[in-house]
Amino acid sequence: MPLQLWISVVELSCFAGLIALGFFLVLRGADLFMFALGPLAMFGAMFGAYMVSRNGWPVALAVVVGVVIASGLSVASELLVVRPIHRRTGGEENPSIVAIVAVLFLLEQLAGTLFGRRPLPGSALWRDSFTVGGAVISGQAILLVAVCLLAFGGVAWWLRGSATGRMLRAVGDNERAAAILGIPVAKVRMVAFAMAGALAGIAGALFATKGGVTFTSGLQWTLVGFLAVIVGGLGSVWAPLVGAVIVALLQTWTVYKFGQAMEDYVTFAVAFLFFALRPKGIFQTKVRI
Amino acid sequence: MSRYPMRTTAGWIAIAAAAGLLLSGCGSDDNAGGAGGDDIVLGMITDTSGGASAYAPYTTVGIQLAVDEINAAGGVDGKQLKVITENDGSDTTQTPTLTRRLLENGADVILMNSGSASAISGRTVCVEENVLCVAPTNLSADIVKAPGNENIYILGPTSEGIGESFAAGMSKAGYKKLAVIADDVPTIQGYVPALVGAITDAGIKEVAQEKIAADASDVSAQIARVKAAGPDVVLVMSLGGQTEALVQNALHQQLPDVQRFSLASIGNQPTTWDLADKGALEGLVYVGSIDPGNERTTEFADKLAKKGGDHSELTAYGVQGYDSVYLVKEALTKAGSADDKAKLNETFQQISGYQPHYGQKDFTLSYGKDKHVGSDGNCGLVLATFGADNKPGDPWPVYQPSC
Repeated sequence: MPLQLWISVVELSCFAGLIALGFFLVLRGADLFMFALGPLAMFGAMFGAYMVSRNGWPVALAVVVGVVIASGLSVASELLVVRPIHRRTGGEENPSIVAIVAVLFLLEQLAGTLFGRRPLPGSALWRDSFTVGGAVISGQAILLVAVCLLAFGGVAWWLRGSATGRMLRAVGDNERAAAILGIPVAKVRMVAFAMAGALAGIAGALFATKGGVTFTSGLQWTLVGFLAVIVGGLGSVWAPLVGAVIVALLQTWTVYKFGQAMEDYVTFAVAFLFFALRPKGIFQTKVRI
Repeated sequence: MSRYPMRTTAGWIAIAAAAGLLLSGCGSDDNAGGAGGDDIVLGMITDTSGGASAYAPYTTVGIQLAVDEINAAGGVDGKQLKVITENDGSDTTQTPTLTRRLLENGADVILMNSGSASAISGRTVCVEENVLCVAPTNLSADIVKAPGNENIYILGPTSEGIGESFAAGMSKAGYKKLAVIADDVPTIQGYVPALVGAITDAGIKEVAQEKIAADASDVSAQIARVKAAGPDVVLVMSLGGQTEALVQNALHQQLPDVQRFSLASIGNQPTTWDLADKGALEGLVYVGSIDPGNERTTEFADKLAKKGGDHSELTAYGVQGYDSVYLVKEALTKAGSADDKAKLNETFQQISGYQPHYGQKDFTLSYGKDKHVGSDGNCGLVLATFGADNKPGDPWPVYQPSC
């Protein structure tokens, strides 16, 4: 495979990995698939692109505010949608997931209404590009990889080294037991949603420069993160990134070898295989008794 | 974790996704209301949320400009024109139903301002209801192919005309090996055989044909396959927007010395120019319909600039929308009213030598019982190039289509 494709694989892996890390945090902290993460990434990116192109905001400011908004919307989803349903249904998961999927489409339409239904150019923080061995690497791609590694490293440290991180794992393992032990479950869940939203916002802002962002980008972005976490599993903080690398490599290699028509078949085959044979992913959680 | 419900959630996800899709906009109605008895109602199928939404708004602006102008001048036989709309989101399954809804709301004429595939899907309603239907910007000749074409018209030139122009231009430039990159939406896939067929018939060998998913995040693999095939010319076919930008960025990076051609989409979508990397469109040849030497185009551009607002940039879509209304006006004037739909269809077929506001200055549109494509030759097309500023620049010096 040409070097340029390996660069694409790395770039796609980091993008999907960041969204998958958001999935990971909400799954560990709230035992829920946060399907609205793709639209949150889209919303943050569209906000930034809109403010830069229409209102002349500095790129860095627009990106930071976009990430804060994505995080805020994620918290709002928890407070206004998931938590009331969670309470009313006694913690049953399926109603919450249906509500989250509804939030997904709501965010898409809201972004279309606020920022327009035409694609907006992503706002690049680093516009330079470099040629290495005949392959072109954009500064934005380097930034994406750096931020991705920092985010995974930071979350890994936070989960093990901070009290809130350890509480998040406890809540995810058994919410009722955690509550009995006095852990502030609601606060921990909110932290999980806030961090997941911020990670999605960062991913969207950094990736949108590739070809722009539009209000319908969110669903596709949710799917890449979802598949990465399905393949990687929840046994390690790094598992979503491993899953993202596997999926990106497989998809890129398939298209390179067999053309685009095969990509969907291979993606569905991977999803099917993991759902059927290894539903907890490659890295599985181990419960100590 | 206490539970890990990946398998059980799949069904719920599917149900919720389906519900969400139903709620997300396809078929949404933005009508201003039903038709008034004293108005002549133009019912417009448009796309504000799907693949054609990248260009449909420009057409809408051109249509509205013509309607405003005609109304300000007293209307047609004393009646004002009124536009009502339905959004099909380029979902071809929605188009027939929405076309019927427009008719129920009083539409006298239908304007198909969505993808070609939508126009093909909706044309059965035109025939069944014996209503005049005009697709201002669509290129596919399949829209007006017999049988079942009695009431539907396009302006043209068609995709075949574009194929012929590309073939002649590429031959004259001496290209031998063609690679095609097309997005996977039905409208574009419908164009591929006509365009590529015309080019290969001219003796240019097709060495690669790659498909791009319309929601692709990365196209590096397809570009690498194209590069491996060693083409000396690449034709990109898309509805524009993100897909086109992704492909052009990647081609600019990985095949900087290979000449690129593209469809009208890229030339007519100012928003897409911003999505491309700096200088990524330089040298790209696209098939447009804007000739700076055509005085009628200049006249239209001035009117559009005066009107201002969103989508008021000069594009072929806007001009074609504008001309489509004037074509309908000519037919209405001859028919005397919109009440007799068969007569209105007949008078539309009598239009001859209409001088549109796009194409080269000698370009005309004529219709007939067996002529449902208006263009009288391929000089409705202009092969133009992009400059280093990612904006359309000079006409391509190598070749221009003639009538």
